[in-house]
Amino acid sequence: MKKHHLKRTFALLMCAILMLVMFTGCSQPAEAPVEEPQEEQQEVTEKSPEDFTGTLTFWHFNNDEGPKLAEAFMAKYPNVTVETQITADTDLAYQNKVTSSIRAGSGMPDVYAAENAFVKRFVNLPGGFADLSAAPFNAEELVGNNIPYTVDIGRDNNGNIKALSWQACPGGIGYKRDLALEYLGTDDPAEITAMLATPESIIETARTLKEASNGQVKLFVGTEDLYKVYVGSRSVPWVQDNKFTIDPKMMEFLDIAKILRDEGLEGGIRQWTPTWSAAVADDEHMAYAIPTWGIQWIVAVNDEENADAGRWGIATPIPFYEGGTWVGVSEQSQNKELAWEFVKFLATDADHLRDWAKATGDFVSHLDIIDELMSDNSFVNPTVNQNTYQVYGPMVYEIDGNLITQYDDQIRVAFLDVLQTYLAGNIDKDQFLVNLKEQVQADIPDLIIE
Amino acid sequence: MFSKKIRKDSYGYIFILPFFIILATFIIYPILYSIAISFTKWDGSIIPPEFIGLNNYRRLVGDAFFLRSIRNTWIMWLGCIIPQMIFGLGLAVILSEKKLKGKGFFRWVYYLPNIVTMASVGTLVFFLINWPHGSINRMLMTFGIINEPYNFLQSTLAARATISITLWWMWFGYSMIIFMAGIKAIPEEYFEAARVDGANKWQIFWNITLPCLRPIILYQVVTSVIGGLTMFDVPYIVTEARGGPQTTTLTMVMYLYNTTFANYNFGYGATIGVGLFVLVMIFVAIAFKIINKNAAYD
Repeated sequence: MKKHHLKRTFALLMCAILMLVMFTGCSQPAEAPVEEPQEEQQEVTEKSPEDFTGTLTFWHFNNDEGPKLAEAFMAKYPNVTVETQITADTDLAYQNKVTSSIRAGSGMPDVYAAENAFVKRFVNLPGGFADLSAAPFNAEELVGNNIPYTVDIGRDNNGNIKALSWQACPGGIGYKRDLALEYLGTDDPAEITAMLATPESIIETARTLKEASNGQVKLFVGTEDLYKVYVGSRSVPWVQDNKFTIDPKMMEFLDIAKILRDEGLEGGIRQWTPTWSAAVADDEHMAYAIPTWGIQWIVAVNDEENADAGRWGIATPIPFYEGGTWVGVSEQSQNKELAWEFVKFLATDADHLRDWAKATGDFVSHLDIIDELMSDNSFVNPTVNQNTYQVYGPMVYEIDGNLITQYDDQIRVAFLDVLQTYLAGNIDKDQFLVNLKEQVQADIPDLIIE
Repeated sequence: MFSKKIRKDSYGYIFILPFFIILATFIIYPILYSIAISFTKWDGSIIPPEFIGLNNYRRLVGDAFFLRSIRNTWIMWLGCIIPQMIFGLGLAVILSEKKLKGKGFFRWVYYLPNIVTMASVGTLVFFLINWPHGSINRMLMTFGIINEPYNFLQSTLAARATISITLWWMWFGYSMIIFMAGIKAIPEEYFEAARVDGANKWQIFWNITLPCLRPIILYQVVTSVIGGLTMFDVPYIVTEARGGPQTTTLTMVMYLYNTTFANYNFGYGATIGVGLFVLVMIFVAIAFKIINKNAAYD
């Protein structure tokens, strides 16, 4: 009897534990923390930077940038400490960390960053970024001086601002001046721009370069650099009215990429691989797609010897943009006023942005500062020997922030994967489209694909 | 004679309770939770999962990617397990020779790849076969064996073979150690009797070593089925998560991972997980049946 009794007790106990664990987990994922209405209604009074005190937590994915942003803020706000935590987004580690913390309803920092590739997903994640268009933030009143496309990308699907950026990322074709001069007869950015203005002229220039260098020098390091140019210069987003749409520009890209690969006019090196980085300093690959931040983070860091030697030049044949980082206040933050002060400082403080541009060479998103630096002929970037604001400045108005969708990164991965098979000659263009659509449908089942 | 009374205090249950709590929290609950969300559509956000009945299962049954991933996993597993068994067994027999010098060194060398993490090996292989500047391509071109770099990851055969060979290289040392333990367990008298009867080494291998090792071989195949069906790290890293070319190296777990964590379809990802669970159960049940049938050899 006792044995049975014990058995029953034990079974009941186990059941109770299981039920408890299940109910704990099966309970609805934590609701987004309800913002305290009192806080919302509170009027933001003018305070000087010294009046702000406390500690902020800040998540970023880039070790080169995150700590510098925090330092700049702490320099102006001496009584505030920003604790920065960096998680690289290798294998989506950063994105998954943010997503799971939002889901868990706890553990999020006060402020966190989002990269261009996933910012649109992040601004649409319920419980993620706080609505900055609403009171007490009222971001709409502050962004008048920011480049419109950077503001648009930081809006969610309802048009509310969720994140802001301090930088704009128009792009050009970065080229090695010595190779251009030797094999193409000029290193002048205007002339190189003309040489790369159309698909036909790109192919012609690549062939000239190959011939003149006896096959030693290739125009592009890989097709993905040209992909960035084309994808950034589309006029139709990847997804329109929930329908997968391929811009005709991308079909044009397929043709040019195939010719470049078949004739050995590009290096075939995948971007962000060590070989790709090493090729920045070599004498075999002439051009890379270089957005504003690329001068520092693609060229200067990988070709340190020539970082100040003006070896590189930037041509601007096809306007495009790539990358950019946005920051926003977490809905979970218990210190939203201070968190907002940090975001506001990074994205809208003109003095800071001027200093930031001069210290880092970054292309900031503040229109007044852009005008100011464009007219300053002495503001020359030593890596490219050009005033980058004069180079990229005219492009900022041509960029359409509505081109970005929350699916872009998934589609990019699928496109580049199928592209490799197409370029290897294993499938034709029709099969490329079939495979791409099949892959996109599998990755994003909700899309309408025709 | 002896007292039939055995002390049956409830303390024992308290002692084993921590294990059951951990089991319930980390094994049973996740399994039940996965099954629960496999009936839902959920992007992993704080928006609650939406119950969609059997839709995910209907999709799974006709999902070309899932069916392809099962086929890929089996092909790459067979490409690994067959040479793994042959090499493991052959080396175990050779290195069990009493008179052989330097046995310890070779055992160590062959086992070494097994203690390197999968991720490191995957990364190493990725750089070795990289196109166009990988080490293997450079080597083959330096020796004049090929004129143009060969794109391993755009050939189905080469990509699958690369993954199978990598896994074989990592695991044959492990098989060898298990076989050596098996050989040690065979009574020495059998070998002596055979030698007295004039059997040569080849005859001893075929008629004594191999039949006696049969349960060990089966054990290895069964454990390898589970490991093989959940193959992930090496193909994931070598093919940069895509399972290329054209998803011919996409494994079941890779598909599960990509669906869940790269494409945020948590509901369907869980359905793939349940499908994988069922498949592993079926294959393990078959393997156990075969083992039990051969239990007479024990």
